[in-house]
Amino acid sequence: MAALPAPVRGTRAHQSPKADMPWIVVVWDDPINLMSYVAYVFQSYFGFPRAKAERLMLAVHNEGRAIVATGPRESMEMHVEAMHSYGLWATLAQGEP
Amino acid sequence: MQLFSLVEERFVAQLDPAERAVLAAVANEVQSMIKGETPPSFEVLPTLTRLFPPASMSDPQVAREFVDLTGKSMRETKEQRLGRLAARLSAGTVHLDAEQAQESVAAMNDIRLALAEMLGIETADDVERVTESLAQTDEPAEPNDVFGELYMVFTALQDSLVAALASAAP
Repeated sequence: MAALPAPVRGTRAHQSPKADMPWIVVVWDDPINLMSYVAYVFQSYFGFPRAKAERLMLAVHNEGRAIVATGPRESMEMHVEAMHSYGLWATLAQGEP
Repeated sequence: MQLFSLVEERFVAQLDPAERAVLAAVANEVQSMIKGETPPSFEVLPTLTRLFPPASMSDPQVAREFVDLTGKSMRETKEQRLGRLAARLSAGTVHLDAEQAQESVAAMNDIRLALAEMLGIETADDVERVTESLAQTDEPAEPNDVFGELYMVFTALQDSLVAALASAAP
């Protein structure tokens, strides 16, 4: 099966000097989102097994943040968009956390 | 009120007539705020920052490009699903299939985020403050007590729907 080309999502105004480093998605702890809901989001959106979803949720809760995805900028932007749609507080960054 | 449970692959809750009207009105109110309409009882439009958080706190350009990319469709998605949630809450029995349950649980989360902003909830201590202040009030008199009550009701509803969704997951 052929892979579909990735949709073009506009041009970038600048290229970072860290251009070839992968991007990360960080989910931050907040006092409003229920722990059960955060685990549910990780499980249903990323398709993580329940144990992994719970482990990540606890990392967010206990450490204040967790990296939930790594990869090219466009894919990470899609993940952040999805997290915001669910109401989770997620950010995007390039390179080392 | 009967919170959500899974009944023959449907997500079902029961609301009393008074509850329906209030909860649907809150969903509609948050929907209006997303459209940029300041509710009559408010002096200023809430910022809704937690519904539309910056995608980067260290790089304003990344945050700006993200808003250019997603801002419009994000507002439309959240606004429209709150409208559908309001309609569903208006029914006596809330009866959802899996897809409706998934968007309703996210819409309820947006309502809780909006109420939390009005209550000034930024830390876990703030949540405790709101809970304690409610425990001491018999009749909610202050606007904050009303928001607090609504926050608790939507929390209970959302929590029950998350549990039902989790129990239905393969």
